[in-house]
Parts: sequence; structure tokens; C-alpha cells
Amino acid sequence: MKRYIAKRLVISVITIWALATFSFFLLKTLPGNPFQTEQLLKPEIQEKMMSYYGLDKPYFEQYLTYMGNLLHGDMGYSFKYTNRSVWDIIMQTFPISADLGLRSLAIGYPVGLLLGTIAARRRGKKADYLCVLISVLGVSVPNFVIGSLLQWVFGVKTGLLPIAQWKGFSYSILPTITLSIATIASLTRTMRASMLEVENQDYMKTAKAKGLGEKEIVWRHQLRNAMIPIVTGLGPAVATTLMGSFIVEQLFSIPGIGKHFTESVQALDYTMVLGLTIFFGVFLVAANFIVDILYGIIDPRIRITD
Amino acid sequence: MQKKQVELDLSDFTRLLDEEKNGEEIVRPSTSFWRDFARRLFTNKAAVVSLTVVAIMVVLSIVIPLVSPYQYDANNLMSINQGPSASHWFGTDTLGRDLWTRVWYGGRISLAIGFFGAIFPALIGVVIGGIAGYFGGVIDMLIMRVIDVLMCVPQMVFVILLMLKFGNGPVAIVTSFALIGWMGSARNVRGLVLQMKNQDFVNASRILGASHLRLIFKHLIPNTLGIVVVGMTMSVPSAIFYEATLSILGLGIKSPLTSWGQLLQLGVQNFKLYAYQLFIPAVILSITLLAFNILGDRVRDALDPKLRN
Repeated sequence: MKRYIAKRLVISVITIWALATFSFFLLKTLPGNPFQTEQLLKPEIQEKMMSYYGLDKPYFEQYLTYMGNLLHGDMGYSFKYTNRSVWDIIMQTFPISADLGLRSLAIGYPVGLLLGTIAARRRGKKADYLCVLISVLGVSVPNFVIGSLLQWVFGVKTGLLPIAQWKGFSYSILPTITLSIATIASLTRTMRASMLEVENQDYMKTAKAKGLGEKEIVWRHQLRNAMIPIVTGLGPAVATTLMGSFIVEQLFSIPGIGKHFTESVQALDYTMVLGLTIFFGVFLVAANFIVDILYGIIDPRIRITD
Repeated sequence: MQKKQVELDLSDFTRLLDEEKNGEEIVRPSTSFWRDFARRLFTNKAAVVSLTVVAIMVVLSIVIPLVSPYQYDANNLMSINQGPSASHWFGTDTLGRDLWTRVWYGGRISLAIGFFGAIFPALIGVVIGGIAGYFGGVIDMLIMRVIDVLMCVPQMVFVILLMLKFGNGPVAIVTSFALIGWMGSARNVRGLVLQMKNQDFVNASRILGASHLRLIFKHLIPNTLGIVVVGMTMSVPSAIFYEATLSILGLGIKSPLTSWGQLLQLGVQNFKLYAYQLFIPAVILSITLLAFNILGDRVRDALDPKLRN
């Protein structure tokens, strides 16, 4: 187990390093510079700015400087929002995205698990078909379509709810629903499949054979075992949801981290794009790491050996 | 124990009738794996319906831009933002372009991205996974570590970075998608090849002197095609979805060229006043994705009856 954790840790560090390095050089080889997209600056001024920020030095030297600073937790300053460090911006926008993400997970997980369980228990009946239909629709209809449909119905037509910005509870209702539908859909699907798979296992027959009641079998044996694949998917799902959705934040004008990423990409704000990419990467890698370790604890059949 | 002698004489035998003479011949034509797959797929109602929907979308996308009296990029400022009517079946957009033509021209781009976005990652995956599984050892270790690393990378972020590099045409989208999408099929193919490479049919061929290439392409890869095809059907909708997401964020297809995502981007901007500009492409995109998703499920079931629950 210790060896496994150590190995996973090494892989995680390498992943983040590779991501940072690759993104750094990718961004450096792009045409244009961050000062071109602002008001038309004279070429001489652009050059001055480039040398002020050290962007005229050889790539490798810039790379070493950046990585050195990164090790001290310094991600540099944004080019677009002058005088604000990338870390400041992350700290300001991430809580908003995480808030939205948590709300959608708080709705999505219970509903998805419930629908999946109902579908599996009522297999082949109307309730099952309904749940499967909901999940297929939720997977197939993209979230921007659901989001703009909700905006149209509740905002434009009836005027019940605000459809943009992030100023309070009523502002969060539509984006939360939009974001949770994808979670509900994919969880219903996974949970149903998982429940049905567990149903055929030998230990379920044993439980039945030793005369346990229906309730006992479902709660103690079927549900618990069916949850294992759900837990595995939890890490990346939580990570990606907390990091905010590019689309939902754009659609509802929520000043979260996803919206900032899209904007800084369009503005060629090197340090912002790079900083956010690394932040996304670290978050996802950490989530995967934790889940992999948890996996061995939850499921004794998969005691990690190597 | 005494050995028992079996006594037989001619009267124990009877002559076969003429019609019985071919009793051991295999009368039914043997069904191949793929024919069996097709039979299972086509007897499934949902699969046939979604296949038909896909076919309709493809045919309309090919034919409509050819026969339409309007060009997909022809502005007509005299008739902007008109609702659906007899002359403009889906209405017109803010520049007076005919949406019926644009939706189906966009369908060409979106569907092409879907198909190539499914084929290229699968190709890369088969080659890399095949190499890893077949040669094993250090090569396998290296490739698998690289895949471990790539799997932990946030995909959407990565696609966006690659799009910055390659520009924002359809080719750029397919390339970016291929570069981040091959890991899954590489893993699957590697696993299968590892399982198969020491089985008797492969050993027999190896003993007969088959080269690496022949073993890989004649025996191993054809046997992994099932799982690859399942992966491909599943990644068609996700490629189309990626295109739409990128275009809506303003990082994908740009006007005057069009795709379903680009139409949606314009639709989102105008939907408060002209809802049809959003909902028509949205409905068409959703139906297509729905059909592909259902089809993917059924193809998986038909290829591997064990997976069916």
C-alpha cells in the first residue's frame, strides 16, 4: 500500500510537471502577443512591454523563471487585469464556481442515485423506461440547450427568475438545475447498470438463500456493492464540477473560474491561461489520487498489491 | 479384466439412403461475427430507428445545400430575422441568411467532425495500444505511463489550448479531439492484445513463421475491432458535442462558415427576441446526439451479448 501511494504520488507530480511544461511551450509558440489584442499599441510600445515582462528572452530561460516562481507558489500577474496576480483571481473566482458546483452535486447525486435504484428495482416496467428516458435525454441534450431553454421559459416568457449574474439565491437556481441535469443523467445510467450487475452476483443468491428480507438484501448487499463504481467516478466528477462549467458560466454570466479561463484564452493572457490550466490540473490529479487510495479501502477485493 | 471382443457382421449395418448420404455436410451458411452483429442490431427496434434518424440527417446535410436556392453564406439584408415561412422554412438570421440552408450546411461540418472525430482517435488508439500490448516490456511500460499522465489532464482545457495552436477550423477541432481522445481505446486494445497474444491461434501462426506485422494486422487487430467499433460509436456524439461547446464559447467554427455549434452561438445571442434561431438548431443537434447515443448502446449490446443486461 505504501509503495502504491508513493508510486501514485510520483505519477501525479510528473503529470503536473508535464502539463505545465507542455502548456508553457504551446502558449509560447502561438502567434500574436497579449498586447496586440488591447487598443492598437504601436509596435515599439509592444516591444517595450514584451521586454518589461521578460517575454523577449529565450523561451527556455522564461520557462526556468516561470517554473522557479511556480515552485514558490507564484503564478505571476495577469496581463489583462493589470496589477492583479493570477492567484488573486483564482482565489476570487474559484469559490463562486465551487459554490455552484456543490449546489449542483447536492441535487444531482441524490436524485441520480434514486432514479438509478428505482430503474433497477422496477426493471422492465414503466418506471424503468421513464428513468432510462430521462437519463438518455439528459446525456443527449447539451447543457447549453437546457440552460437556454430554462432561461427562455423562466426568464424571457414568465420573468420568474433572473437569468444572468450571481447575486443571490434566486440567481443560482437556473444554473444549478442546468448543471445538475448532466450529473443526474449519467448517475442514473451508472447506478442502474451497477445495481443490475450486482443482482447476479453469488453473494446476492447467498443472501436470498439464507432467508434475508427484501429490504435487508437491497440495503445491505445490493446498494452497498453497487455504490463502488459510483465512488470511483466521484473524484473526477467532483473535481470537474467544482472547477465550474465553461458553458454554464458563460451562459448565465457567472464570474467563475471557467468564464475567466475562456476570456483569458481569447485575450491571449499567457499567465492567466497557464495558471488556470495548472490549477485545473492539480485539482483533477489530486481528486484522482484520493479516489484511487479510497478505492482500495472501500472494496476489500481490490487490495492494492503492487 | 477380460477383454471384451465385439462381434460384428454385415447384418449389423444398413445402407444409407441416398438422401441421408450428405448428413454430415454443413447445410446452413456459417455466420461470420459481423453478420451475426448486423442481424442482432437490425432486429432491435431502437437501433433501427436511431440508424434511420442518423441516415436522414446525413442525407439532408448532403442534399439540401446542393438543391437550396440560397447559398449558406449569402447575406440578404432585406430579409433579416424573419421567422419560419414558406420561402425560408427555418427563417433567416441577423444577416438575412437562410437558416434552412445553414442548418444543413452546418450539419455537414458537425457530422463530418463527428465521424472523423471518431475515426482518428480510434486509429491512434489501435496503433499505440497494439504496439504496447504486443511488444510489452519497457515499451509497454513507457506507453502506459504516458497514458496515465494524459488521462489526468483536464480534457476541455487541453482541447482549448490545442485549438489556440491549430486555429479554429473543422480540421483543428478534429485534430485536437484526436490528440486527447485516443487513450481510452489504446487501453482497451492493449488489454485485449495482452490477453490474446499467447493464445493458440496466435502461437500457431507464429510457429508457421508469421512476421510481427502479419501477426498484428492479421490476427490481433481484427479481434480487437469489436471493442474499437463500440468506442467509435460512442465518441461520435462526444465529438459533435465538443464542436458545439467550443463554437458556443467562441473558440470553434466562426461565421460565415457554419456548424450546429456556431448556429447555436448566434442563437444564444438572439434568443430573447428570435427564439427560433436558437431552438431549431438546438432541437436538430439534440435529436442527432440522442440517435447516436442510443445507437452506441445498441451497437455495444449487439457486439457483446454478454454486456447486455
